Amino acid sequence: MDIMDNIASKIIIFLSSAAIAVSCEDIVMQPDRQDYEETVDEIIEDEEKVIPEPRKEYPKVDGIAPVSGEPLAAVLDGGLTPLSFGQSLRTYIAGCRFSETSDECPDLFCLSVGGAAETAFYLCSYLHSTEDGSPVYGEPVPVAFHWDADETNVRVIGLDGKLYAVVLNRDRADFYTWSETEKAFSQSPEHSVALSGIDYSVFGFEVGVSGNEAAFTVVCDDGSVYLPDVGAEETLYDSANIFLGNLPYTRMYAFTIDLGTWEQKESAAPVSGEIETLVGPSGVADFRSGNVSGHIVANCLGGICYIDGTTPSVLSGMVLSSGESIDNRCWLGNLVSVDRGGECADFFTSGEGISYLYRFSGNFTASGAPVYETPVPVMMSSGDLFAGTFSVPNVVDWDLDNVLDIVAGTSDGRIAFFRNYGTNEAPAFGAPQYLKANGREVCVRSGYYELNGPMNAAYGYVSPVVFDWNQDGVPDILYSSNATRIELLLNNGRDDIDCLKAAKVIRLDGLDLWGRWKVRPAVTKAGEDIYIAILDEDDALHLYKKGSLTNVKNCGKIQLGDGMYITGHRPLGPGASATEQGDAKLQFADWDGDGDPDLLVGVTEVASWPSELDGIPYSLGTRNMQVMILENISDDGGFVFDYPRLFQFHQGDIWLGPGAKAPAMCELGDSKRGTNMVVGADDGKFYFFARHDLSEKRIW
Amino acid sequence: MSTKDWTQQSQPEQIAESTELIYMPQGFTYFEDKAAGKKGYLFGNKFKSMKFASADNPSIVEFLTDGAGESLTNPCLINRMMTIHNPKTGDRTDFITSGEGAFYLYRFTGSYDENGAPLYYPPEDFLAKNSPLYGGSLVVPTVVDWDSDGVLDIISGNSEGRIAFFKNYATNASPAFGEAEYLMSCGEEVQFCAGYFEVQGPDDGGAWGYVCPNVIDWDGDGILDIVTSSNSTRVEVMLGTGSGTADCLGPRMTITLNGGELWGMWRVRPAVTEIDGEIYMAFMDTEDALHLYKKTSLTSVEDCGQLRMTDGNIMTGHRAIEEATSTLGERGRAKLEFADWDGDGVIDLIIGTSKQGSFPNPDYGLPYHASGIRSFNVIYLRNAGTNENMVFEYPKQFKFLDRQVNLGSHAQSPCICNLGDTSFGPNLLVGCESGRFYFYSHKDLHF
Repeated sequence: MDIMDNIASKIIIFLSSAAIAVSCEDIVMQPDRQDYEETVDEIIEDEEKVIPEPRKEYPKVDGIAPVSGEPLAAVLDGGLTPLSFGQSLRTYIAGCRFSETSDECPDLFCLSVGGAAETAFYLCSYLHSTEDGSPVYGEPVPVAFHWDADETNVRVIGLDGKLYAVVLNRDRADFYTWSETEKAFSQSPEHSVALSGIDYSVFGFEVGVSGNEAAFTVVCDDGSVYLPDVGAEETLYDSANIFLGNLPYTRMYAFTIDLGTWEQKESAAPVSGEIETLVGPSGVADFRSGNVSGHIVANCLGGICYIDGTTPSVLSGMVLSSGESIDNRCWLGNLVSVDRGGECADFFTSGEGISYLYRFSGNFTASGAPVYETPVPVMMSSGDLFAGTFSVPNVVDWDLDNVLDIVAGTSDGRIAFFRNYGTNEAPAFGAPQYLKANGREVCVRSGYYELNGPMNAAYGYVSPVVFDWNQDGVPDILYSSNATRIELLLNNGRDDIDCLKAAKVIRLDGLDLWGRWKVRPAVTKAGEDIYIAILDEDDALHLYKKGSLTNVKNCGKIQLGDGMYITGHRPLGPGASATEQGDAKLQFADWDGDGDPDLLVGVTEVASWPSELDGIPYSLGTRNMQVMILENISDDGGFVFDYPRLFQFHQGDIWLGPGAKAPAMCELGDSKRGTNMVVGADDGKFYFFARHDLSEKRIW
Repeated sequence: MSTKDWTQQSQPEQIAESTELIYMPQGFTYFEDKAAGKKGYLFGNKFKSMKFASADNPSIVEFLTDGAGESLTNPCLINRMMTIHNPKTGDRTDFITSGEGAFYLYRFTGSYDENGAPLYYPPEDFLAKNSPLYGGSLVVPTVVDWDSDGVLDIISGNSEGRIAFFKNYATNASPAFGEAEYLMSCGEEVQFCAGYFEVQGPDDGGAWGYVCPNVIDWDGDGILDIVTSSNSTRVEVMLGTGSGTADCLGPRMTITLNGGELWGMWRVRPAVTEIDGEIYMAFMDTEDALHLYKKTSLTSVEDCGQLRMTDGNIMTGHRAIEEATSTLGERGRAKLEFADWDGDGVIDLIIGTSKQGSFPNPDYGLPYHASGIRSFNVIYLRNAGTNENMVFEYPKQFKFLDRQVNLGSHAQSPCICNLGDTSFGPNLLVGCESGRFYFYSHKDLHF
C-alpha cells in the first residue's frame, strides 16, 4: 500500500524524538472553511487599505537658499532651533546668571567641546520663552578663557558681586574672575586653592556660597577600571551577556573653602558612601526649596536622582508630573541649578545633544524627591538645524506636500522630522519634532549590551533610510543602530508625527538580518524589485532583495568591476578594534544621472574602502570629507561598482569631524546644475553642498 | 528507492543550483496541485520561515506569503513539514508543521501569488478532544482574573515568545478553560524573540523567545498589565488597555534603573507584588543573585538591594562553574513568584528552576544537590522577616505526596492559584516544558 494513501485514515507525525499516531477522528478541525476564507479575505482587504487622512495645510514662509559648504539654517520663528555651538560635539552648561533685563530665565555660560571644533566658551543671553516654556537664547558670544582646554569641570558662580569661573580637579580649585566688558575670564586664577581628600576623578561639582564659605559638593567615580582587558576582536561580555568590566559607581564628596583665607577648611570627606546604583557619575546640582534641601545627581546615561540633605546615602528616583521617570533623552554631561535668590529648584542639563530645562512642579514624591514638569529644550534664535549629534539625514517629502523635508536619525536614538515650510529652492525649516510609534517617541538604543559597553546605553546612533517599503504610497523608515539589527517602521499614513507602527525586524529566512553596527542601509527599487544593501558580518557590502514585508533574500556580496568584494575597515591591531567596523552610512543614488543607482558612502576617518590595506580615507592620512561615491558600472542594471572616489569641496578637502558622515542626495537649493548633497556630521548639523562645488578625487 | 526490495536505485542528484534555498532547513515536503499541474517543494526552518520552490526550477525559492506581501511565519520553530495527500484528488497541497509547539495545519487557498508560490490561509491549530490544556512549550503561567469577570484565568508565556490567555468559562473551584488566545499589542501579536544576539547564539535566539510574564496592575489604573523578561534579558512592561479583546496591550516599554536598562540574567520570570501601595519586583541580577527593586515610575525602578537569607548571605541560583556542562547560559532561567504560602501574612518566595539550579549557593543549593534524578524543581523560601524587610530561610524543595515527579529538565514555572479547593491554602500551578499546566493542591505538597 502506498504509504501516502494511508494518510487519509491515519496521520502519522514524526517528531524529533518520538512517533505519535493520531487518527482523523480525534482531530477536531477549525470552523467552517468558508467562514475562514471570508475572514482571511477581509483581513487581506483591510491590510491593503491605507487611507491617509487629508493633509494639514501649513502656511508657507519665505525660506532661505542654502549656502554651499554651510550647515542648513533654521528659518522658522526667527530661526528657532535647539541650542548648539558650531562644530562641537558636547555642551556643558557651566553656570548661569540673571541679567538685569529678565528674572524669568538666566543667561548661560556654556563650554563646547569635541567634534571638529576647538574647545570654546560662550555666554548666551536669554531673550524670551516660547509658548511651551522653552527658553530662547541669542547668538552665543565667545568668551575668552585661559585654563586647560581639556578641562570640563568648570562652574561659573557669583561671589561678592563678582563672577568667577571655578575650575576643579582632585588637587586644586582655581578661581578665574570675569570681565563683563572684555567678555573674558582672567588669564590666571585670582585664587588657587590646594585641595586634599578627593580620592578619585572628578566628574561634576556644585558650589554653594553662604556667608564667607563656599561649600563644594563633588561627584567622582570609584576608581574602578571600566573596560576589561580583552583583545581587539573579543567581546566585552561573558557568555551570559554580563559585562566583563567594572561599572563605575558614584562617590560624593564635600568640603568648604574659606573665602577669607582662600584655603580648604577641611579635607574633602565622602558624604554618600558608594551610591551603588548610580553608575557613570556626571553631575550634581543643589536643590533648595523652602525648608527642603538636598542634591540632584545625574549620570551620563540620563538618569537623574535626588539625595536628601539629611540622608546623603539614600538615592531617590525622580519622576515627572506625568508619573514617567526622568529620562534626559541624551548623554548627560552636566547639571546646573538655577539660583533664584536662595530658591534653587529648577535645573539645566547638558551633554551630547539637546540641553534641557527642568522646572520644579512644587511637589514631592512619597520618598521626598522633587517632582518636575516635562523638560523643555533650550533653544536659540538664528541657529543651525539641530536635533542631536551624528545626524543621519534623509531629504524626502515626509508629509506629502510636494516639498522636501528632512527626516534624520541622531546619536540619542530618536528620529527627527524637520518640516519644510518654504520651497525646495528656498527651504524654511523649523525646530525638530520627534517621530512616534503608537503614541511613544521612537527611541532606538542597544542598552546594556552595546559593543562599547553598558556606559554607552545613552546612545542609539539610529541610522534611518526613508523608503516606501510596502509600496503603499507613504514613506516608511528602515534603520539600523548600535543594536545592529535592521528594523522597519511602517507609516500608517494618518499623521506626520505619530504615524509609525511598532518596529518589525527585517529577517533573512526568519533570522534577523545581521551585519555590522551603525550602518544606514541603502535601499532602492530596480524594476519591480526592492533591494537593500548593508555591511555584513565580514564588514563587506552585501545585497539583499525584499522577499516579503519582513524577509529578504540573499543576493550575495557586492563586487567591484574587477570582482573584488568591498570591505570598509582597516586591519585590526593596536588601537584598531572590531567596533570601528561598520559605522557607514549608505545611500543608493543616481549621482551621475545614467539611470543606475550609484552608492554614496559616508564613513569615519579610520575607514578603509574598498579594502583593508590601501583603502580610503584611512590610507590617505589626511583629514577629508569622508564621503565617497561608488559609481555603478553594471551593464545590465545590476549592482557592480567602480572604485570609490572621495568627494572634495572647492577642489580641496574639508573636515567635519572624525565620525561617520551621512550623505543624502537632494534637490534642495538650486538643482538646475544637478542634484545637490546634504551631509550629516558629528555635530549634528546638516551641511549643504551644491553639486557644482563638489569634485571627485580619484585614487585608483 | 524501490519499494519492492527497499534498495536505493539511483544516486542522489542535485536538482537545485543554489545551496542556499533556506537558512537552517528543518522541514521539507513535496507539493502537488494536480488540477493546476503544479509540483514543487515546501521548506521550513527553525526560524519559522517557510518557502516554496517549483519543481520546474527548484533553484528559485519564494516565501510563502499571506497574499498581502507578508511572509507566513509559523508560530513556532519548524522541525517537520508534511503535506497531506488527498486520496480523491491526488493533491498534496495542505500541509502540517510540527516543532517545539503545537501542530499547525495550513490549508491551500487554491491560488498562487505573483511569484508562483502557493497561497495559504493562516495556520489552524490541531485540536484534540479531552486533552490537557496546552500552551506551547516551556509555559510560564500566572493565574489571574485577566478579563475582570470575577473568575480566575491563566496568562502564560511560552518558548515561542507568545503570551496566551486561557479564559475560564466556569468557576474557580471547577474551572473550564478555553483554547489559548494569543495576546496582541497595538494590532500585532506579541512575539518576543532575541534574534541573532542571544546567550546561546543565533540558532537559539532566532527560534525562541522564552517569554516569562507576570501579571500585576503596574500603573494602578485598575487594569492588569504584563511585566516580563525573555531571552532578551531586559525587563519590559506592557500596559493593559482594557479593550476586552486579544489586542489589549500597549507597546513594550523597557524598565530602567537610573537611566540604564535594568539588566540581569535571561529567561527569568520576575516576581512582582504590592506592599503598602508600592510595587516591588524581584529579579536575578548580573551576579545571578536574587535582587529586589521598587517601582518608581512607569518605566523605572530603584534598587532595594540583593535579597538575603537569615544568615545574611545573598542567594544565587547557579551551580559551580566547574560543574556547568554548558556555557553560562544555564544561569538565570528561574521563575520567581511572591506568595504567602504559609498564610502567616508575610510574602514568601517560590522559585521554579531546572535541575541545574542551585539555590542559595553553588556548594549545596537546591535542587541540584538534592538528588541525582530529575525531580520536582520547585523550591520554597519562607520569609522569616517582614514584607518591608524580607529575610529568607534556607530553601526547601517541594514534594508531591512523597513521591518524585518528573516535569522535565527545563525550568519549571510555579504560580500560586486559588483554583480548586483552597481550604488548605493557596494551591500551586506549575508550567513545564511539555506545555502542560500541572495543578497541585496545597495539602498534597510537602518538603
